[in-house]
Amino acid sequence: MKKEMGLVGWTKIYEAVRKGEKFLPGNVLFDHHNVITLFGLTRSAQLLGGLNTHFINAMAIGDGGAPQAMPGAPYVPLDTDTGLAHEILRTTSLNPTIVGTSQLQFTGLFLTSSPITWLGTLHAVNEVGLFFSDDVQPGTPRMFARNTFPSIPFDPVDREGLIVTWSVYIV
Amino acid sequence: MTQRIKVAGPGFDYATLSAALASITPSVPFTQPIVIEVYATAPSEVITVPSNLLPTPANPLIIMSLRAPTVTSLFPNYQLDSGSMAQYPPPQPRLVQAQMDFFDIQANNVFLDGFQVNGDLQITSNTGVTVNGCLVIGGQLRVVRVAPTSATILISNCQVELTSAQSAVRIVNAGGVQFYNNTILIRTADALSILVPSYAVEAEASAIDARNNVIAAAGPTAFAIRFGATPGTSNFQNNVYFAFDGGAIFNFDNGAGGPVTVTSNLTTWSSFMTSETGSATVDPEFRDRLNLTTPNLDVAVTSATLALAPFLPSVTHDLRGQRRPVDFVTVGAYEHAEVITDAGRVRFLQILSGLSVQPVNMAVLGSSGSGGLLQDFTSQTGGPQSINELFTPIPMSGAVAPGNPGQEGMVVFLAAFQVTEPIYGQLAGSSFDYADEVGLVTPDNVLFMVKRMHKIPFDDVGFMTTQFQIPLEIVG
Repeated sequence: MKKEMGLVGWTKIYEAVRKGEKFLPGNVLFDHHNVITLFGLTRSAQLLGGLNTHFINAMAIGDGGAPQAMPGAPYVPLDTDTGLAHEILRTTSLNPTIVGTSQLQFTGLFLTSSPITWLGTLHAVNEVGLFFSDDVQPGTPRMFARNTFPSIPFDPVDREGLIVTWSVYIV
Repeated sequence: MTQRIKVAGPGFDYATLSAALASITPSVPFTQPIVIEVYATAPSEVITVPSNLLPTPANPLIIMSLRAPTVTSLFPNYQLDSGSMAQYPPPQPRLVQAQMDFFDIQANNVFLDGFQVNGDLQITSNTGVTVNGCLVIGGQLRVVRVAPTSATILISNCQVELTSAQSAVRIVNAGGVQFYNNTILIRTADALSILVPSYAVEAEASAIDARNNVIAAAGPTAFAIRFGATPGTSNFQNNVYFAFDGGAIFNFDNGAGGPVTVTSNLTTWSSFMTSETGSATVDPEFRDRLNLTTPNLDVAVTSATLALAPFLPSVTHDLRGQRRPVDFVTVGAYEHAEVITDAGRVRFLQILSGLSVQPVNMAVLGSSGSGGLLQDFTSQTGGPQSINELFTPIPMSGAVAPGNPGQEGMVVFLAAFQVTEPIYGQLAGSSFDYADEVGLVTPDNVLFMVKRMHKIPFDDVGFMTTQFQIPLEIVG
């Protein structure tokens, strides 16, 4: 019989509020658990046992997590997902932080001023993912976890940006 | 198809549960399993599972407490009927149960899991009943039939404490009770208002199968066990019995007016209970047995209860929901035979995020004496080694992460220890002549996991090569 170690991911999306040169988290726009992919579990096991060295180092947001016609009704993320449905922005500046003995937190900043190729006319984000450092989309997808949410307008006229904190808990 | 009934949530009123039970058509055999999920911390009321319900073995009635932290920390989007533990806000302790004042199971084929009962938990049905992972506080856990009968009842992973009744567990006229991996403590101080003596477990029934339990008494008039029946059809194995503070362990007679024997001698007890094997009369090392209001009956990592008994297939998890190993398990309600350390958790998260590149690729053999590897590595800052390490960490022969469907997060650590002449010299200089722990370690000496095992003797070099396969599954 094997020993089990559970992982739970939790996504929190904030309004990015400018303060001087920095952006700080403002209002909470989304706050919910996410789906850790089957690949994410396999890679986690490999990392623990020294069988792989490609850790989590990227976070991306996209606009393919909900139908364009129903932006408030996101698709359900699946543990077999390999990437975002339509990725628009990615960051590798995640500032990983260990909190206590069971929480790992990543923080990503996404600005509406970035050049974006939208899926359609809806300028809003509704999906987010965490990726390993050897992820190539498309080609060799290496996604750790994904979440979808009701669309959040993501245009310079709406806001300057979003801050996503992604916590991974050992339970 | 299983029918699920929502009966609880924030602000839950237990009348809803009664209504839910009443909504089940009585006197008609169930045509599908019915699951009642309860989440609440207050108020505490009575739940009775009426005897006219007719669950069947194939279509049981399952009443389970959804385990979650306190109600005040509920996540706004919490949905009771989500069917997913992931709906709980992290971190996710799985310790706290919905509370009842009294739980009475009268119907057959009922599965009860994960409740805190602040009073009595009573079983008067006789077939197909399982009570698992329940915490009985202040009251009595009892299986009571009016007349002798054969029963099929499994009581597992339960803890009974602060009992103010004469016995914490009472089994009367119900042969066939399986009593596995429970932790029971009766204290005279909790029962001042009742007649002495008092008993942790009191059985007046035959064909009781009691294995892997911690059964203890505290106080001069308390006994761990009173057995008053013909012992021939009962089976007692791999239990830890103990009496603190002047009490005695065993009180037994044949239930037919024979002489009463009082003893703390396991051999004397075994001459009566001839099935007895593998048990011990040792201090289970409760973490805090003296606290008057909130005793802690979990055991220390140095307890003799760790890895003492063979795994029982019907008890796959412990009171907290932690999986038990399949070889040797900790007796009682709390599993400790395999421990992932706090430092190991942190290291895993560091590896996951690139904050460390030191994976778990070494192994160490140790002895649990003087606190064992857990204590040893906690105070260690690196470099070999200490009195409890019988081998310095060696590179593991490998790890395998097969990633098979359904086991995507599986990693199997492989370690082989070979006794060579220099190592034998190292063993000969050790304070201990056995190994009973294997640890998984990183190159920078972070202890990730300890697995307790049966003793491997070293005094005559009890092995030349010993190999371990330690599987771990990361689950989402």
